[in-house]
Amino acid sequence: MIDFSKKHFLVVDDFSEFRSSIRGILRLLGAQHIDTAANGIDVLELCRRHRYDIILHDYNLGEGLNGQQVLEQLHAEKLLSVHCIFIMVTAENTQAMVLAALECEPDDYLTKPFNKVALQTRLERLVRRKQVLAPVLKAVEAGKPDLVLQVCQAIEQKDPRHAVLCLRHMATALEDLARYQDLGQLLEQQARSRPTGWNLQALARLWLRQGRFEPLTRLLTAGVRQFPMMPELRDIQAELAALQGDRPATLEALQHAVTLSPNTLRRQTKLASQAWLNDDTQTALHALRQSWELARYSASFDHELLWQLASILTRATTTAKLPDEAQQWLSIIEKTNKQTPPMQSAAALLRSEEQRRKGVTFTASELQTQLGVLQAHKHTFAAISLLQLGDWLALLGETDAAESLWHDCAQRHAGTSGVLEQISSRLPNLDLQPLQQALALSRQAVALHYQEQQEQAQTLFEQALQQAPKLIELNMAAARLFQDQLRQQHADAEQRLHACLQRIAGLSKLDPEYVNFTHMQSSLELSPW
Amino acid sequence: MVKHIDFSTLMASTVHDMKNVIAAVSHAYESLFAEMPEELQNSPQARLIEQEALRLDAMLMQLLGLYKLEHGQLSLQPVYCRLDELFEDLHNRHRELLDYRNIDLQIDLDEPDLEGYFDVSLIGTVLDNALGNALNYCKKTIRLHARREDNGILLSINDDGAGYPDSLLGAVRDSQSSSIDRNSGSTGLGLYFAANIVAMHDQEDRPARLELSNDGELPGACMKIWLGLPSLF
Repeated sequence: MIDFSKKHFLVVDDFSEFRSSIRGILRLLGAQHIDTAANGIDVLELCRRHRYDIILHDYNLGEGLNGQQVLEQLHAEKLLSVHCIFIMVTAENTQAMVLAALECEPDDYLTKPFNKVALQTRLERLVRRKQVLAPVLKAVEAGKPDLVLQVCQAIEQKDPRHAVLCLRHMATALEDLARYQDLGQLLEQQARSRPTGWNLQALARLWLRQGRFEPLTRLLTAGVRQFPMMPELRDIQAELAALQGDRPATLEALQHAVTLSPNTLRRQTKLASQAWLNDDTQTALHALRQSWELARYSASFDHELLWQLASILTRATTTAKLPDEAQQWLSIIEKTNKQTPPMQSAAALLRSEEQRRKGVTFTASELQTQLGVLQAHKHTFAAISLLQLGDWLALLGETDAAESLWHDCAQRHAGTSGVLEQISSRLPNLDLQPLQQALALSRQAVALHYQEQQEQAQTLFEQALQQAPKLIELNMAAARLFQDQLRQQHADAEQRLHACLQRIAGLSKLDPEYVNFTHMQSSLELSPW
Repeated sequence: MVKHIDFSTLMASTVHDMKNVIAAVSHAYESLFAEMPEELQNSPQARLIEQEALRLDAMLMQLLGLYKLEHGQLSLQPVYCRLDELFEDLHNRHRELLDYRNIDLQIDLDEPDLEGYFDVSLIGTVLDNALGNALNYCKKTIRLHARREDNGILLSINDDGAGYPDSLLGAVRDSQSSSIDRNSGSTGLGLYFAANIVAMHDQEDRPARLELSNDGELPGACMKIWLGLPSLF
């Protein structure tokens, strides 16, 4: 029997009957400290003030944040201790819900309704599992990957039945130590003897980075056959197709992933962007509307997505009056972004387009304020926004301003599949070769980095950075190398890492690299070296 | 205007509500139980409430499962599952009744760390039904057994009752099982559901198997389920 009397519980459900019924069961199990919450905002607030040992969280909380969004936010704010047990509770095991609940990786999930015995056994197993792993988790918390490996090996020797629990922590530790060859061995061995979702994904990602496209293609084909319900494998297929320049296949893989698991915001926005770049307006619109439905209550929702919606809708018509739906999105942007000048200016640009369609002509000075703001904040926009902002400016006769935005888009986003094709139709005289060369060099360098040939990788990165210093893909890839070097205490690694992040500062929240970018930035600020 | 809803959808949504009702009643009962004097806790009536609530919930699960199956909404969420935990859960769900009827449930794993790869909740429902049947027909012993076989796992539920009638013996596939007379009572329906759930676990060239026999270690009915383990290379 596990003693639950000292554990701090948080029970989250929008129905008060269910909260009190769970509280009742927990009391029967001996629990004495039980907090409850009915919505995501309260959960975040409670977790900022208290450390919980066990959180039972309903996935669907009605209006507002859902369980997945809360868990993501808890992770982002680092409000969960590694020792905390987070259990996602779903009312019904529909595919979309279960996949979404799994994608944010709770410790476990439970389907309602459940009784006392079911909850008790589940909790006891999870607590025991965490107890076995406690030394590993402590080492993880302390940021000591060497120690993680040591204690994992000790657990394996002492009690082989728990070895399987350690694998994932070992893989992360090897990655932190930049021991990619060992990591590959561990993952491949595991994929042969006991393939699991995370292990397959980690191996596929490693092979993608190492440029081992042929075995990767075979692995992914076998993987989606064996694990058809795993959207992450489709994500990796999309990345592979993008690297191979196959845009239709990229889009198809993303659509597949979204069909499997439609509730994940970052995937919907990625699909929207790729669809628009592939000239598939309908898919883009659908994905953007879905994004709004998913995340409208989330504090981190980026209204630039609404601008993209309004812009694409406006583009699809030639009537003088903007379509009603576009008007609706613009009003939301204008109302909620009073403190965000670039969003205000982007919205104003679409209003100007409406005026233009009504026959109003603009003098240069009328657009000056907007132009100034857009120029000053151009680095904060996503690739497809920059392309579209340029399109509207061009229609308003501001050719220089438009070209400047497109140039900037090319310099930063050339790595995004489909961007250069869009650029070359707008700027036919722009020589794209230096950018393409830099990209090719960067991808070679990444392969070398993950084959543990750091010096050669660094030389190629430096060459590429001379040709395309603002390229996001290149700077992030180089930053990963310098981050590894920093951990190995190479001289100057910190400055080089800092310079990479500096060159792409202000990265759009919608960029697929945004999360990694902010992680690197904050780890640099807190850097103990 | 009244919107037309087909009967099966109406039924499914009602079943859903019924499940929540059962859960609420059970939770209230569990809280009451803790306050009851010991003699009431051990009374046959208390056992009856527990068993029947459990049975009702299992029936509703199956009904909901059948509805989803018919409408193509039943999706498989396979995960690795330790078989000792699977059997422990199964035992827990039926513990009251087993104890009350004084039936010995033997759990036997060929290796302690055996694990399978399947949808835990769906296979759990199949096993619940099988154990429910075994409880009805056994004399005093039921045996749960698991072993590894052909890169998969073989689960069996065996009892010491009179065994299956000859007409039921052999491999059961989803297509055949529809020929079972579904009006004849719970066994047919349970088997139909089980065969479909097992068939959902087919792997490309390795179909999952469900077999009924009387050749287990105990003399009575023996239901065997073989489920493949994943392999990539």
